[in-house]
Amino acid sequence: MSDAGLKSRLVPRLLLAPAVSTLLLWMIVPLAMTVYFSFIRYNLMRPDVTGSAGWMNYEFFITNPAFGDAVFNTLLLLGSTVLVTVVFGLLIALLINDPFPGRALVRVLLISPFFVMPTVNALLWKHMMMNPIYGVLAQVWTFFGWTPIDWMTDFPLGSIIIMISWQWLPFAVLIFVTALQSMDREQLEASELDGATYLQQLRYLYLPHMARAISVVVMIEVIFLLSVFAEIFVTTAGGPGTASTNLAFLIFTEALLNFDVGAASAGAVFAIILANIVAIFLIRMIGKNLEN
Amino acid sequence: MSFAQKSKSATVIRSSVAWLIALVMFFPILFLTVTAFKTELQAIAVPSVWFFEPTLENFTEVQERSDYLHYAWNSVLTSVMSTLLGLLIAIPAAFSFAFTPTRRTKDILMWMLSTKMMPAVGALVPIYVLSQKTGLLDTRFALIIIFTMMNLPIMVWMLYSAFKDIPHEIFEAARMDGAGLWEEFRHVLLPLGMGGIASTGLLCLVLAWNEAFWVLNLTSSQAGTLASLVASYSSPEGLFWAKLSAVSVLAIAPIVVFGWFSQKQLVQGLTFGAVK
Amino acid sequence: MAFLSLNNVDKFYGDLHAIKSVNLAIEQGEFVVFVGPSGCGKSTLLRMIAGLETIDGGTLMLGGNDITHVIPSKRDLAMVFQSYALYPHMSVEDNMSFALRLAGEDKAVIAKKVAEAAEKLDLEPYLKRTPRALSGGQRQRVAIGRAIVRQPKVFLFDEPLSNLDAALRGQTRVEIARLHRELGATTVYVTHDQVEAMTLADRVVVLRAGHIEQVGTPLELYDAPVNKFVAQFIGMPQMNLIKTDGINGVPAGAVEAGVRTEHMQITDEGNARIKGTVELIESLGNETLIHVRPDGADSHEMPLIARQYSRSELNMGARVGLGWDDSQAHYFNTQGENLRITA
Ligand SMILES: Nc1ncnc2c1ncn2[C@@H]1O[C@H](COP(=O)(O)OP(=O)(O)O)[C@@H](O)[C@H]1O
Ligand SMILES: [Mg+2]
Repeated sequence: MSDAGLKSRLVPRLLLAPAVSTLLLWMIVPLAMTVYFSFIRYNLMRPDVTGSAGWMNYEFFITNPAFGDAVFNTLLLLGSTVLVTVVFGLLIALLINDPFPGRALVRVLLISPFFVMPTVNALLWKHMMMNPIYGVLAQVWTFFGWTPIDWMTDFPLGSIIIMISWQWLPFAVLIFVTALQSMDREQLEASELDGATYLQQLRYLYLPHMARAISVVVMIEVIFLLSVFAEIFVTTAGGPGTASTNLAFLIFTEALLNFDVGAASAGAVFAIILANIVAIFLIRMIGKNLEN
Repeated sequence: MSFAQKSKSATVIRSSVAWLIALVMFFPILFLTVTAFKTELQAIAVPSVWFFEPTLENFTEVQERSDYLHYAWNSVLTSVMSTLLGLLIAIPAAFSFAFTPTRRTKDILMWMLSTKMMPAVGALVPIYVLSQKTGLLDTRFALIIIFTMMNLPIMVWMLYSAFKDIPHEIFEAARMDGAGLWEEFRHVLLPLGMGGIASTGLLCLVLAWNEAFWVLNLTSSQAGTLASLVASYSSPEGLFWAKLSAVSVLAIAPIVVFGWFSQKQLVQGLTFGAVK
Repeated sequence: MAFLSLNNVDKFYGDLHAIKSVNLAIEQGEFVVFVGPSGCGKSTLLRMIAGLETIDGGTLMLGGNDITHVIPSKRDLAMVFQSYALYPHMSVEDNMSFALRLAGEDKAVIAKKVAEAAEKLDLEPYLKRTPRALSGGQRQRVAIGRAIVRQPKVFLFDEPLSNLDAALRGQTRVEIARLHRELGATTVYVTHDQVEAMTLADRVVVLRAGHIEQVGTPLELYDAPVNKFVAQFIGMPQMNLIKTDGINGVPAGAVEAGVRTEHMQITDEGNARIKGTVELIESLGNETLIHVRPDGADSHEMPLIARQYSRSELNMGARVGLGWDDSQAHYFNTQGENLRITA
């Protein structure tokens, strides 16, 4: 191999090396340790109990009645939030696409929740919005003569979905608004001459144009929402019972509350498998949209 | 309906609805901010009071009781350092992906993103154990490294989609003009990729500032950031709304205001090339 | 020994053999044009000379040095890209001086060279503007200016005119010819436009599917194409091709005759070599193109075209005969080789 040829192949790899190698370490080391822990007896409260555990940790984690609930809650939380944010995101984006007085300020107000940290988001909603006695929502309900809802007790997972949707809706709106801006005006006008109704325009012009933007929103949200933690940690702590426990929170409970590292690691392996299943689905479904 | 055909009243209705939605979305933040200036009694009054003499008492108490500035400094330090470190690693990688793509480029990118889909909690125990063994538990150094790794896949991806839009031939022209790798970086990639780099940096700054999972699990008083300061006001003092609001406002104000000013820039990169 | 020489150079893209053992010697000061259909490897060959593509086999020599594996910035060549590839964030002045600044040239020298180039190209009023604020033609001139300030050993152009409109293209073509005369620099120029090739080149290189079909002066290619491909590629309208079976007086081994439109004569039907019907008459003022469909030809076959420099009295549908002088015709064998050249 010639000098220039070698260089032209080597340099791009050298540039990649730091990112790829650190990420590989960041992935492999914890993964290997997690898998290892999941096959040994490892409870921080009982250092005397050691040795191989075989599949016991997995059995223990799976047979834990909370496991099924946690998987279900994880997917429900993810699915609902993605659905809510994409649907409402599109509607709001269409609403504010054309100029109107104060649009810039509306944009700023709309995006603000995206910058609010999850812990504040959770506390704000739990106490000031959703408190059944003093909360703003309770006051609204009373105003209309309804009985205020005890959100955290009666709709724990629903409450968390609301909080997370509040945070991620702005993200979807902003991406969609940006995407709408590049919509071909002439195409729209041509369709009007062809007699297309607004609904037909939505179906045949807007939606196809937005496909890539929707893919991006779904992708990013999945990345961040598969492992929602802080919102649950500071509000419901997974309860009541397991009503708002997702996989991330269940593993946390095992590891740091029950000190059973072995079982927690087995749970983590499940979480990783679940993440990979979702990832494969996702890449199959929307990967094409992200190609050039 | 074309823009011209829309009647005046339709525009009025549309903008009113838009304003209503924006106000509803922003209301919780407004309410939080107002509450921060109330006394504890005013804070839980039903119906909520809107006209009162504002007090700064909550803010001074937060600073006195839990040293707000210490946590704020930790937040600034960890988010800024992790963003810079991340850019340092991600820019060369994205440059390489964008301008010398191979058959495996797309696969490596997807793999990078998939590491981001694995729940952090899957790595919690090992990282906890490793940090403990190396004495890095509750240090800012550990947080910086973790934030960097956590954001790296997103950074590479965002930068890649930004760099991809720079015409290849400009780099070739520079090469013909005698530019080496460093000059290409310095005179072509940096100026032309600045928009993408800025929005990537902005997003990572926001994500690191707001990160709670690793902060809650790996730090306590030493390296804790504002996310953990807020959490510490949650359970027992849960009903001291005014103080909770004050600490929350202090925690989110810097990043929200920062976000307002940079939102245009931020959003450009966030579309991941989905929008031309 | 030639100034720039390619010796058996090869290029592979995976399984695709994009450049097949090309040999070419270019003299100092020569203007060489690569032509060929799209995808034949013109850009690839040019970029191999530039150093932007690796050379997978053979050697490349410049001024007596082997530069096969030298990186682009060390080859002392300048290139004008099809898209111009100007630095969008730099002023015209900075665009032109970038290479000199990188080379650490003296400030005063840089200023002088940029001023000279700007004057040659009429760019003086625009030196402080960025490329965004220029028209297509002005951008094109900046790209050329960026190349000439460096006074490189060789200029490389990759379809530099294809983004300009027709009028500007003609004008810029003349300007490039003038610059070449003034600077006398060795130039390799890629185009798919045969008019550019014929008007600019000292020598034209006709490429097809990664190898050279023929090298020669424009008139050599026109008058003595080595094969059917070159014959048809050069000349507008294309050379007429006529199946020779049934036509008397053709050389042995010939399967097709090639007759340029201006050598195709309209005759009486009487004892013409070919008889047919006038299908279309294109009167262009200075010349007339008469399209004739030979008897028995399918309707999807190209009609034969005769070019006259006088007005025609014929009407559409008229019966005519076609003939040609054998000294002006080319005869091709089954391989498409020109029997007159190969014999
Ligand atoms: N980077 C590349 N990778 C793979 N094939 C390429 C690449 N560049 C060019 N080719 C192929 O090589 C051949 C020659 O291309 P090119 O030199 O660009 O043609 P031209 O400039 O004559 O139109 C084409 O078949 C093209 O598809
Ligand atoms: Mg080409």
